[in-house]
Amino acid sequence: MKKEKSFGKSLVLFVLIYAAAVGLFYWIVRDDWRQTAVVTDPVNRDAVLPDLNAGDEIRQDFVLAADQLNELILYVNRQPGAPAEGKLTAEILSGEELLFRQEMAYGDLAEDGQMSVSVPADALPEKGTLLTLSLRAEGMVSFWYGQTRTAGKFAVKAETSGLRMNGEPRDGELVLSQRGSLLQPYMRYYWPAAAVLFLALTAIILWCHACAVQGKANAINGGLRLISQYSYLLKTLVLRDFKVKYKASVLGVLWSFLNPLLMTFVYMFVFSTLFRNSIENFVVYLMSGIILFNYFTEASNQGMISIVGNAGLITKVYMPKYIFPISKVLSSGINLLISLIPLMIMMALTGVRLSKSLLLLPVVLLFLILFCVGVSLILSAAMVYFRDIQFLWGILLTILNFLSPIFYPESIIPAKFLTLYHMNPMYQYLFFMRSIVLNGVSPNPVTYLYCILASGIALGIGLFVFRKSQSSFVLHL
Amino acid sequence: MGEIIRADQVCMNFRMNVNHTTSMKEWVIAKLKRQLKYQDFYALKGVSFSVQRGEIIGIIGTNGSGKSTLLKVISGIYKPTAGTVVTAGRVAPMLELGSGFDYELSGSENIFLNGAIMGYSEDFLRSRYDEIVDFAELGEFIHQPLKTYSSGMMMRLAFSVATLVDPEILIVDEILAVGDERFQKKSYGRMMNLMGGGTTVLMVSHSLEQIREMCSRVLWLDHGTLRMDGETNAVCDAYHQFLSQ
Repeated sequence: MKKEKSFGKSLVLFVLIYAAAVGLFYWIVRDDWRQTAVVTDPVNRDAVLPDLNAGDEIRQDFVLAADQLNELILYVNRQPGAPAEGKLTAEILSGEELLFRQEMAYGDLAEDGQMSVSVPADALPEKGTLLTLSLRAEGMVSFWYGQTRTAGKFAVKAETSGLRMNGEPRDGELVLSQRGSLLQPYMRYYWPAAAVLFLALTAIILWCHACAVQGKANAINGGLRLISQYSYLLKTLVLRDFKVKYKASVLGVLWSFLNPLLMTFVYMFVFSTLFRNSIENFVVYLMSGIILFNYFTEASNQGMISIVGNAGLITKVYMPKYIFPISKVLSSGINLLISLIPLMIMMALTGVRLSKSLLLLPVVLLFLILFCVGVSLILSAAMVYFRDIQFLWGILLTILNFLSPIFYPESIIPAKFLTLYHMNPMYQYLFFMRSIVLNGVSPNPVTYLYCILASGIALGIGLFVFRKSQSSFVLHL
Repeated sequence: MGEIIRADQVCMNFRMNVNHTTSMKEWVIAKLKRQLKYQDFYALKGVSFSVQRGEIIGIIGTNGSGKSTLLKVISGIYKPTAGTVVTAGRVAPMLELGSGFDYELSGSENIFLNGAIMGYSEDFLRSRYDEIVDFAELGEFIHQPLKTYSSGMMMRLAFSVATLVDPEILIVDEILAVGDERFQKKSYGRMMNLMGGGTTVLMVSHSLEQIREMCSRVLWLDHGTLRMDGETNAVCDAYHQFLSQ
């Protein structure tokens, strides 16, 4: 009777916690999942078109890339000391139908030549429509155009089209960037999805409870019992690893703090002097990448040798062997948490605005930690049978390091490889991390799905392989 | 009372790889050449017995007769190749004292680490902490890292942790010679205390004298089979006779 009562209590607690979590999550992602920002990538500023004299007209076709276009960015070229009188007319046409017109005095043009045509809401048709930008002026002004795009360090020839001057087609394309937002349908499914998840979780809980009452074995109950029985051992092992790690060093825990900082400076020095890069806030970009990848490296390496390294214990005392790789991944996790402090400091110094999306940090870290647990389970089991794994893994880690956007922007990857490139789980975690740290927005649900899949698959394979092989570990150690 | 350990037709087979392939390349080559040869070695061949709560069981036999393998099977370290072992209590193995110690940590930290490895909770270990420290007689050294300990100190600490936590089943593999003579007497007394207090003990020893003194029942293993299982003096006499042949 008493047991039933406490079960009822924990069920109520579950409902409350679930409701709070779903509500909080709704508040965080609400705006980010409704619409995402679009900024199209313009061609390089290679050359300047001839001056627009009275009666001349430049036309540039473009495909509308946003559901709500806020502005078009153009680059104007004006001779120094050119007279401030005169005006510029920008029109957006669909076929020959005029959708919108904006007039600007020369005197209002910015010094650096960047010019914005701001578009009122609802002036334009739906995304994907072919539109035409028409520009007319009264002399002493011209526009930048180009035939190349930047891919990392290199300028490559771009496919260009749709540029006409006085009706005459020309090679190249106006330097034109669309800024606006895409409307996303995700929020429409939020509450239904939350309800389905709630029903599924409740069903699982009730099933486990029924199994426990009837005394039937069930994988989830068994797992939970093991966790509660060995949680103190896990805690002790994690603390031991952490204490022993810095035992003989003078700076101690400070190294967890200094390590990412120093590495960031090294990379900064190399990549900002040797390579050109167009990444905004490179320090934070680099540091967030280094911290996550370092954690992955450390956790998987430590996890890999955890079974072999504890051979003395495993051959003498019985305990669930899962605990060794898991404790290594968690003790590296303490380092990860400490190294977030210098990241936060760098964010504050570089003036990143704080946003509510930072509350998603535990989510991405949890995904990454679960992924590392899965990988460590696989590696530690394989390591028992083949010690070569440690050398192979070292090489694989290096390859993975270069295949992840840690110190270079994603834009240097050719478009045809992007799908493959995105298959790298580390890419997804890095993308998630930077989305919340640098852009202050939650990534869209597709990224969540990728992360859940990557973590789930790694964990599933890891548990399966480990379970199958663990009873014969002791014979091979 | 009641049954606490039941071993049923326990077989333990070590498949020894004759080629000793430990690298993937060697393994693949050997596999392809069909040269992966194994040699079966049965350390236990169908051993069955049952132990009642509170019994003190001695296990004797010549070297290589399977005594240590049997202890490891009972403590759950080896999974038997065939047959089953069912234990109904917490097993505290003393196969090798101090196998769960970390030499960088202090003695007191190691008490908690070792206790946790044996599956005890934090609260329980806290309640026993003082007793363990007193028994080990380490004084101020308890807060020093283990690497500064002498081997005798280490053994005293290990013995204290293993025996002061009230195990239900205690498995002892030749470790009663701990520390100096005075500590040996004390640990002997502690063992007798445990045995009187209802702990089930399985001990391996080559000292028949010790076995006769402490055990109520003896198992004699010979080349992986249970040659004799019975009252202490009867088995010891038979074993003695076998040895002097």
